Amino acid sequence: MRLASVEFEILRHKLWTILAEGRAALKRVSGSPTVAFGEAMAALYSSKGECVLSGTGVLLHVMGAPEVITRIMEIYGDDIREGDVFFSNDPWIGTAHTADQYCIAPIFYGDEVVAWGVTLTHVGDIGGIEPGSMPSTAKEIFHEGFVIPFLKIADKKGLRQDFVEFVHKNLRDPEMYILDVKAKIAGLEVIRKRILDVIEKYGIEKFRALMSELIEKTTEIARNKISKLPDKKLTAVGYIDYDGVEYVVKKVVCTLIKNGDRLVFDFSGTDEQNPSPLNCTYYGTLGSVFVALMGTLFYDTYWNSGLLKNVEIVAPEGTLVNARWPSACSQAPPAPGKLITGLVTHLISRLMLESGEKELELSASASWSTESASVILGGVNQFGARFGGLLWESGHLAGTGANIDMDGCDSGGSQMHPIPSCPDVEVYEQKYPVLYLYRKHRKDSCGFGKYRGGVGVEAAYMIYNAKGEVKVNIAGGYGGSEIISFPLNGGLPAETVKSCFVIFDEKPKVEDVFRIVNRIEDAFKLGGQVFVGGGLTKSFTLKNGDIVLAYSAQGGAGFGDPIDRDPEMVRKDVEDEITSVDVAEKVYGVRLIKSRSGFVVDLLETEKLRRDMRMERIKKSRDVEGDMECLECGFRSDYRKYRDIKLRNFFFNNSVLNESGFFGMRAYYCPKCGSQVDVEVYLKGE
Amino acid sequence: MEIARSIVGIDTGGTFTDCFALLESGEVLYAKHPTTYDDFSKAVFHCLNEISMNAEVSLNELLRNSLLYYGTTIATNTLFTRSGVRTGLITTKGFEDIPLMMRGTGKVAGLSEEEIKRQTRTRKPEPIIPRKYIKGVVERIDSQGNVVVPLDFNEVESAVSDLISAGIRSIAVCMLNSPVNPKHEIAVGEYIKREHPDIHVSLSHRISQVVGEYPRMMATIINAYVEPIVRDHLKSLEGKLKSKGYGRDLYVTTIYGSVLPAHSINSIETVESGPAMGIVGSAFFSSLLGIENVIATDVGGTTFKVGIIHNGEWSYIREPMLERFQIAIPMIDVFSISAGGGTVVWVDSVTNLIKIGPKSAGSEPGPVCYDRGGKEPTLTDACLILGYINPDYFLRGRMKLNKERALEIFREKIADPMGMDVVEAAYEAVRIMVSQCADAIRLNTVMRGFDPAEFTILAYGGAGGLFSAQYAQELGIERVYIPHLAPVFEAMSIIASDVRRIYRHPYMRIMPVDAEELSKEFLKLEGIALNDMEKMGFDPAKVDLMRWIELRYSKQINVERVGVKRGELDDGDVHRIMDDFDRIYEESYGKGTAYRKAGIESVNLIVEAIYHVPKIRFKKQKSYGSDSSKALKEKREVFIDGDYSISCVYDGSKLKAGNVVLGPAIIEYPATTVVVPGDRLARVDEYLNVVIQASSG
Repeated sequence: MRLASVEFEILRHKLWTILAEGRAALKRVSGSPTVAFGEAMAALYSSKGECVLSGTGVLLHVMGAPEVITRIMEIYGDDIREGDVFFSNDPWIGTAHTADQYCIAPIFYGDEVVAWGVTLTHVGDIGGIEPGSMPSTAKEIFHEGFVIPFLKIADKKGLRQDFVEFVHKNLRDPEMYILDVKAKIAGLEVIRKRILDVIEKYGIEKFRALMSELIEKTTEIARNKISKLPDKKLTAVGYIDYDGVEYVVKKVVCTLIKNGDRLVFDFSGTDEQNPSPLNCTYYGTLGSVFVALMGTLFYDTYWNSGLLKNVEIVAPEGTLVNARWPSACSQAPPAPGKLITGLVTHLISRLMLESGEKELELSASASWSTESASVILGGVNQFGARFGGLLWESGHLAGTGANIDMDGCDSGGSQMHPIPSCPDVEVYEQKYPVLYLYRKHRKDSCGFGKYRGGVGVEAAYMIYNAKGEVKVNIAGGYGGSEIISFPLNGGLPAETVKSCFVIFDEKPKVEDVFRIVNRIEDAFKLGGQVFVGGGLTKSFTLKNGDIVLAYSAQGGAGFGDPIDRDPEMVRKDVEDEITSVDVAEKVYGVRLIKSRSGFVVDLLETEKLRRDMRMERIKKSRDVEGDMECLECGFRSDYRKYRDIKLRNFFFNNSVLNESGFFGMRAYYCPKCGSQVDVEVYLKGE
Repeated sequence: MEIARSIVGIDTGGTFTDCFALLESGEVLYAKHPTTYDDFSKAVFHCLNEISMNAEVSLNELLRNSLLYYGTTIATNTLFTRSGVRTGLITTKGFEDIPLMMRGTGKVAGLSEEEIKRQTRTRKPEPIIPRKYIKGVVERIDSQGNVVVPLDFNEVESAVSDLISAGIRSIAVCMLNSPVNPKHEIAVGEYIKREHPDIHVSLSHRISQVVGEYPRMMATIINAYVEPIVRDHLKSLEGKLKSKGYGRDLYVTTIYGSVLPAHSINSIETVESGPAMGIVGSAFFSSLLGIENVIATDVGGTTFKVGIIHNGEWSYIREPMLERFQIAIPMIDVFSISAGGGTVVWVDSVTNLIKIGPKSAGSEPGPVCYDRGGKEPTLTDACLILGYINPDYFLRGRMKLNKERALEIFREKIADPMGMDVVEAAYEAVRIMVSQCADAIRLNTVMRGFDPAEFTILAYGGAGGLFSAQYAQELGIERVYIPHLAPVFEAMSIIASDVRRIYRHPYMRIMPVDAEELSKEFLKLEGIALNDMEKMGFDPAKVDLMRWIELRYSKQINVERVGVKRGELDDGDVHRIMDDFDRIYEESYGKGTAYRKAGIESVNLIVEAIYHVPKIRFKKQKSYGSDSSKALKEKREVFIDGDYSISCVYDGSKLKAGNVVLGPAIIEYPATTVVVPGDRLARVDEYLNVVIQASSG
């Protein structure tokens, strides 16, 4: 049976509403702020395990669930009954890391399973080698808490006591965890009941037709979209300079091959997996690829398994993008997950920009944040109770990438959470033993460009009123040398994340601290001992008065040549404390004069500056072979000009780590007009 | 001052200004005039004059003996059109970007699911205060209210001076943790008042007393932005009223569904009061009819709104969205979707489906059939094509609708591209509308653990009668009430309201708390409430107080409120509060979800102060029996229940209490149309409301 188009629309809307209700129920019941602020998913799968529809909850795990459902059906066979709920958190069967945990329930109509509901949350503690959900010192999966491929944890009678007892012996914070599990089950129950209402009302045949047509329509729409892109092969490389244990350069290579109505993302050439949690299993990679595609190429179609049918992922086993068991992988979603998302966003955007289709060109985007540094606190709080928590600036306040026609969004969030949400400072101060010094946009942290990326955010706080020891560690981020940010068309990459702790022997006056510290670089002015964070840090034990500073929410990458940026926009950026006067002049070639109401553009000087910059580029650069067509002046040639340009200062002068020295950055110019047409990071010595 | 003998409610709506008067005799009078945007008071006086004429008294006499309640959208409009005054913000140094960061959520706040999916294109709204008018000063208060860094007055002075040289007329002041200790905010406020008395000042702890700086800051910023304009308008209106004989305070309607003296509230409290009043009216209406559980639906020109009344009570949203900003002022919970009479029907070329909204044709140019140049088909056009609306009787015949044009456009834009018959296409559009309304209702009931089938639907708004029977049917809801005054229900609701204000204060503790301390804290808050009410002119002895405590499970973000008894509390009471919380929690979220072992925390104390005002007593009509033939106008072919059928068309003004109309039928009123589906009947009750229920029932 096929549904009439209006019926399809009515039922689809109902299904969408049902999933929204499920996710809302889940969020309301859940124990952790983590879930309440968005790390939750509710989706519907067919009786065969294919994703029928997912909403705008966290996107990373939608495409991994089919594998789990298929295996559950294999293993449990007849022993699947109404009211059952199955659990899974195995990174080699569906999820990205052990902290992202599925609850999966069959939806019975009569004796038959007609669909599956899936909910997922990121939990606060996994019982690993350190408190929290992403322990940095893990070397193998055995350090990252329990791994359960599948287990029936509830049945008609409710949550099973054997599972509850298991949780109590394996986790540091079992109460919060159980609330979380109950939340997922509550979400599933809402979905199940409402699906049955729909079946009651419209009949099982129409419901089945809805599910298969949703996937069919999506497959077709996806295929059409892919066909609109030019047939091409493009490669991009993302470098990291830290494998979780030491500073060594490794790369993730992604080659996009577009042929007809098929897309292939081939990660061959990617380096060997890391001896640390900085790894993605295949499912981490699968999720990260789709996070990129869903918001760019596939934004206007239903998000379900239909998207998968014409996209192939080649991920060599034993590499950073397909780590073999028993590797650690707790950092997968940010690292290298976000790097993978950034690479894919960049590559698909390049094709979208060449498609000739306005809608696709407008949706293309320079990469958003490709690294993040989540601050994890744990210990004894101001009430004398044990606590543990993640501070959410990094994921939810990062800057987004620029488009062909507009700047990225300052503090706009990450691609994997369509709805960002960072708790208020005052709320954190009520819950945790901290006193914030600031939480603000980080000036100049975006990728500059004709259209700049959104700036990220930096925050600093003092440990305050803790009645006992507090441990801090920063998860994610790399060694700190720049440059896993992928701009487009001559834009520049965003500033890399940075963090540090200041430990005092003698506490300075609080008022002085407030006056002196305005940005992370000021950490050195306080007279304490500064420990620069970089990559995964071991836990630091801090006491009251010690300070944590982190630019953890990275900026987004830029689009187009900065010296083509409208000087008025640069002026506004400076007035908005987004861009410094220094960068305005040196990067954008805009001269500003202070006025009573702020700044005014000196148009003549600006014109001269920019003219000089163009001439200097052409004079001081070398030729290199390569076809190009300049989008600014239309000049076509078989060679381009290039020269090395400076990476930003890695940290600041007295840092423990100065420029890591592994990478260089190269700019390419139009030989005729000097427009910056491309910027690329390269590995020195290659 | 003598007690008022009549109550007059005025609602300045988007298109019309409506006015209701409840006279001492019990008589209810009503007047309407198009809203006069150049000067709102013109329409107000038009209405007052009409009322006094119908009451056979002079305007002066009416005003002298009345209490005036005024519902205005001036604050909301000023915000939406960005026509507020140049505003600045003074805040704690280091947090100047809080209103620009918008917690990250601002990037997608207020957008539809479809818009949210287009991740790379969504952006935050234009800020109300540009960054250069945000000044941070050195000061710091911690979460317990201790002063960690004293206020640097030099910085305050130079911040204020900078803002004033930049032409700022209104300053918002929001320091971190001010609800717990407002000392620094007060000092800054006093300084500005002293040195620059003509600059408006909005202090965040007076706007909202809850922890959470972003929504509190936004409430304060928006308040500062609209305040001078709102104040000017209210002052001018008060002046005019006074000159015509009005001697009492002018009351205005609020976002939490009450009326309060104009001079005593913050302008931000008047935003979005329209929908809130609709719910208040619904609660009043339900109690009149003895119905406890009501789903209040308002089908207007652009939106469909839903509010839930359970056990006679409505609920609040703690951080409602105003435009795309979250504000920390409790709002009566009303959920809205873009689906109304003017919502555009279109074909999505990517999926090849008929869709409705979110775009609306508004009232200019309006639906195609209005013949004002509208080129996009709307749901009103669809209803006209289906035969529900009478093109010759719209607005009592004042406006003729062009059915031919509606058919032409519908055919061209919807039916032909979809390969359908034009009437079928119109029907499908209506089906989609009905279905989305039903989905919205279900989302809001099920999410709270309610079963829609246990509710009665109340449908008001201009288009309530067109769709409500159908969405009720879909939800399995037995009865739909379409009030006699459906098109002007919101305005009528104003005079069904009480004087009421909500007072909140942070109270972060681990339960169980010391009963004595809790009693003391409640007494303190009640004292503030009574003081406030007294300043407004109400006898504290006549003010009712209600207490709540907001609780959550430890480590949880979401909060529920639990009622607390008045007077001295003991340990038993405290434990009862905790048990109540477990119970309320499970009722909302499902059995087994309460996990007491996680521990319970308190968040805020709430006191509501209520001064009850005499209410409308609608006169019950005597029954004239079920024979409705005297009201029968004509028979018309309509497309209803999926097919053509001959329906009886009735003149609503000729129907009497007790009359019954069997479906399929259309009941025409001057300002609205009621569609009765085939298997339903409509009964006119003793208040002249139309009640639609199953034929067999």
